[in-house]
Amino acid sequence: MTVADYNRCVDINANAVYRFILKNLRDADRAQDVVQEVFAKMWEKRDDINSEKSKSYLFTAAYHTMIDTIRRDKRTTLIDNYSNHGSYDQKQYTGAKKVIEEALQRLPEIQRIVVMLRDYEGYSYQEIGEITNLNESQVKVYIYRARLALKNYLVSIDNLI
Amino acid sequence: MINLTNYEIYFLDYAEGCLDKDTVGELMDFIGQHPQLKEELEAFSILSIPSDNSVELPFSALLKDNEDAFSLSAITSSNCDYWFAAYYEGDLNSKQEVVMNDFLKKNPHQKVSFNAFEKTKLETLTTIYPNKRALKHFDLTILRKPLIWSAAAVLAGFILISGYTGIDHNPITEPFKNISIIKNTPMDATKSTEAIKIDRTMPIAVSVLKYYKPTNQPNAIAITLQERAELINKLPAIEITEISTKNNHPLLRKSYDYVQVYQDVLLRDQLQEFARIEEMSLAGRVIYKTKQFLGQEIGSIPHITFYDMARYGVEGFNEITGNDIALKRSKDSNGKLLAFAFGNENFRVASSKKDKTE
Repeated sequence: MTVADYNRCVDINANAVYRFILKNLRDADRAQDVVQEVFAKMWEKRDDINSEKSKSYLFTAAYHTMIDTIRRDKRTTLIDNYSNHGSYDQKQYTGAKKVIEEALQRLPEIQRIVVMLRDYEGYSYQEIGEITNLNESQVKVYIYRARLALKNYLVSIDNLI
Repeated sequence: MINLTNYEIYFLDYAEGCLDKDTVGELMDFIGQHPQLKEELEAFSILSIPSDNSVELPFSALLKDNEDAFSLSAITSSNCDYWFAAYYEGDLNSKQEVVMNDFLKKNPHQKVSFNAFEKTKLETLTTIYPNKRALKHFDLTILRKPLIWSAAAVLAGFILISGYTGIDHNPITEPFKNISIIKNTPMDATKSTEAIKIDRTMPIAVSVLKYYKPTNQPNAIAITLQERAELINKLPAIEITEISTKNNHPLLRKSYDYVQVYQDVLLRDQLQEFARIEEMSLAGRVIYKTKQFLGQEIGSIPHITFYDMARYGVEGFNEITGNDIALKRSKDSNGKLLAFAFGNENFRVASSKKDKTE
């Protein structure tokens, strides 16, 4: 991977990686830290990375770095007070979006991650499996469980309202 | 430590059965201290998503990778949610879609659940990473010291050579300014095959013209030949001995007017001058041209300095590039050199902060 390839990768994928991390950590500052760490890792290993696989490498590194971050600081990961420093703001969500956002945050970590990789990035089961070190079937199961949980939450909210 | 800013996390974990025994105890103590939150804890339990264990998952079917994954388990009210999820994931084949649609027709109350799955698809985000540029890297060429000196030498050479080739203070170029009124209308000419003999008593341009007879009509010329001749006669004569057509001299063109002739003669003269100094060393040439620049007599004992040469180089650089860069030095009252300064109104490089420029 050349310097130009690396910089192109930043241009193409930085936002997506950031969104993925931010959506999970819900803290703009910490998400930015993780993104920086991920790209720093990629820069260090650029000689070993095929530019065609750079996105996959990025999300894999992002996933693992994020998991490490969550485990390191588990007690504070789900704080609802989102950072004001980033462009992420819960207020942007209203109605159904807000509900699905809430439901997403209530999902178990792995389910949330796989469904986000699926919906936001359009990854296949196999690609998600490579990123998360799961086999394809496990990914499929987690995604179905996530869908079911989201659906149940949506329906339960409808019933309450 | 559970407190009023993070208790909701623990409520959620408690509702999902994710808390260990000690933390549950801590949570109950917290509720005891804040009884007003007990109702909220119960609400969390109602809203909580069923834990994985409470979901009856047809693993035997789902864990198979082949297209007929669901064929082993017929769609029923207890597993239809997975069929719906599979449908929205695009995992059902056409036959399975038909089966699912039949099921929905027979069980219309499941339509709500089916439609709800569509809403579980997460919408694309537009959040932007705030400082993408900071993530980028750029190639840096690290110059090793010898290379830096080489680069500096090349730059210095460039400046000197710029001055060397860029400045010509020979007053012989001045007449061009005075003959600009001559219309530069070319005259077709036939070239003599004979060697051109220069009449030393006449201006060279006129001499040359004798051998290049205009063939076009005089009325096509902006000014008369007589007028041109008078103007050319005012030009200083140049002493050259011979221009021969035999050696195919590059200065002899098929089409001439007086200005061109004169320019060519000047050029030839310059070439001759270059030829004179061509045998000199580079240092010799620089000294030669610098002495010209300084108005010093050629052949006198050189008393030019590197500063003189640099000033000459900068002058040439300015002339070529249209810059107004100045090279100055400052001295104290005893004439002792204090500092050099190099720059213009936009930049300044100085060897000292003192501003006593010459």
